[in-house]
Amino acid sequence: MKMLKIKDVVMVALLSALYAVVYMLAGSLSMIFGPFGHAISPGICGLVAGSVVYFMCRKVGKFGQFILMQAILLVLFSIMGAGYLPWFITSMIGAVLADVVASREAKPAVWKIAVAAGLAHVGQALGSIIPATFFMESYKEEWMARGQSAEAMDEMVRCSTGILGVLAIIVVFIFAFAGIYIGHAILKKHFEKKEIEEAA
Amino acid sequence: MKALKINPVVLILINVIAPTMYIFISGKYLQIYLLVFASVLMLLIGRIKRLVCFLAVYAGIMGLYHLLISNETTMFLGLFFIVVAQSLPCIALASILVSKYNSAQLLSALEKLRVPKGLVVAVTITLKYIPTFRREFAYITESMRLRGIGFTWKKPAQSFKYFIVPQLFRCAALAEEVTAAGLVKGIDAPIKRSSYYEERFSYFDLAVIVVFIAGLCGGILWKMK
Repeated sequence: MKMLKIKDVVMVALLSALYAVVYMLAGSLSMIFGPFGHAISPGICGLVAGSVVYFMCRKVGKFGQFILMQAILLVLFSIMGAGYLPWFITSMIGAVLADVVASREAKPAVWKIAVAAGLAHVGQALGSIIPATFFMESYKEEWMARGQSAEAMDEMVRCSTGILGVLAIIVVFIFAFAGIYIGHAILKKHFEKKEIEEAA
Repeated sequence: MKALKINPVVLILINVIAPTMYIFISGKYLQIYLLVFASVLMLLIGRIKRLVCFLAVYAGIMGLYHLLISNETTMFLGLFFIVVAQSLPCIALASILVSKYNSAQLLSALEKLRVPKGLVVAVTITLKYIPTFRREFAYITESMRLRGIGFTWKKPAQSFKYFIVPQLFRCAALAEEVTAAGLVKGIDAPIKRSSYYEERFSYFDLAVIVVFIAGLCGGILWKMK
């Protein structure tokens, strides 16, 4: 199992910048779909940014890549004043699991990267689903203090708990999984061409 | 009036602490307090243009919020804008972090926070790279224009492909360059780095932190009443 070198750290940092931009755009876009859109916003991000994650796994392919990307995002969002502790915890757990699945070999199968991306994005989604399910009152209180209305919070909790919560997790996983296959379809020929060039 | 200099660590600390305070302080108090605090700070460090832009965007977002919140169908969208408005003072301060300080200054400041070195390097690179996206996007659209290819909403998948592929390979090329530059400067050396930009805490930094904490304490007392 290879560990990250400075070159890999730089590559992950640059790709994280691209991922962060997509994350912010996807987060804003998902608001159009109301409270359920908010619950599945990590999935929308995973769908769009699948190419970035696929590229990272193919170019870096070392243990710690998902953890580093997630840590950069968390620090970045904290610096921008968007820090939220439960999201930090679940996202990091998701990233560790993603690394265990897809970063132990240099060239993992596409399905492994897809599963890893699914786990990483489900980790992000659980950042709001777990507090809404198990710590409902404090979750509502914190967001109402941030300006949300009681009705909106009730609706948000309804869309993040019970059957809708489970559905949100499944949708996020499927979207992130599909995002990697989209990335694979887009970048396949570029990597094949590169492999031929390297072999020659 | 001479613009004052602020340690980047102070800006980072303010941004990390501020959003966690919503659980302890009245949302409205914190929103107004952060708006005033960020505005005064930007004024003191001489970021007048940025302050004007920040206030204009803030006013625009609050206008949109009041417009959308009154309608039941657009209410949720309105609530999104209030969260954006609340984050705006922190975003404005973060934008100073990116525009005012160079990479060496940021590295030097972040290293003082005792965060792992790899993460410090990575965060600095990410922070400095995000603002260049508009320029990168302009390069890509220009190259596409020269080849007679245009972005079109009619073919979103293809347009997305034309955008993302050059962007990703540009990241790979840039990673090589940045790594080479970093290695020359001894970024991977296993010793404590010294810096030309050794950022020390000044009385102004201390005053900013004291005023910030005093404001937060005032908010907590206000809520307790």
